[in-house]
Amino acid sequence: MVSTVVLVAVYLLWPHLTKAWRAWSVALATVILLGMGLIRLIPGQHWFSDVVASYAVACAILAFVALVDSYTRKSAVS
Amino acid sequence: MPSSTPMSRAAAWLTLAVSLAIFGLCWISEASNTLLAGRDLSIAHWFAGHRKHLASLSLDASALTAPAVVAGVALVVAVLLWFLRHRRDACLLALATLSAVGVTEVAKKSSVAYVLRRRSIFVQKPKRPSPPDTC
Repeated sequence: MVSTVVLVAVYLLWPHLTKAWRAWSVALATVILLGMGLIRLIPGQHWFSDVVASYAVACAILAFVALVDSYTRKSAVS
Repeated sequence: MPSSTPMSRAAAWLTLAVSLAIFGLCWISEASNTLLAGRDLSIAHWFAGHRKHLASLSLDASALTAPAVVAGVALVVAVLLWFLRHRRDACLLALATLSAVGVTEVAKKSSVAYVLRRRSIFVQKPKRPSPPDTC
């Protein structure tokens, strides 16, 4: 869940950021994503494959949001 | 990133397909305990041997990132975005959060028994091979 919210937040902020802030936001998001994975793995709450699957779900939801954004933007323009 | 060009749209479709394929692969590998899931136990044992003081810290941190907390924060941000006239962004953030909550709940409910069965190994300490006999 955190991965999804972080990825979508970066996606939504992207057009409003300068080049330097984009680099920082990508770096921060990477640290948060890797940290979240480790936080789940270290106490033994989740398996490694669970963490990989959650990253995949986060990417899938990001792609879904990007598609919704893309198609609704086109329809709004037209 | 956000654009409606055919190229970016194709990239989004490709990302969606690859992500779902990886998710499906993880699901199949967990059910059959092969591929990636075949490595799970050794990775869990490695973390069990190295966690020491980090375990309690990680549990506290993961309590802070519970789905209810994250969903609450995301919805507050969405409401703020709505009132700041970024209504489109607010809707997209709410859509992403609700999708994540839905997927998390479905995944948890569909595999509760399976997760509990697998999680039971963490109750016991990972077994080490017995030391060689010195006699």
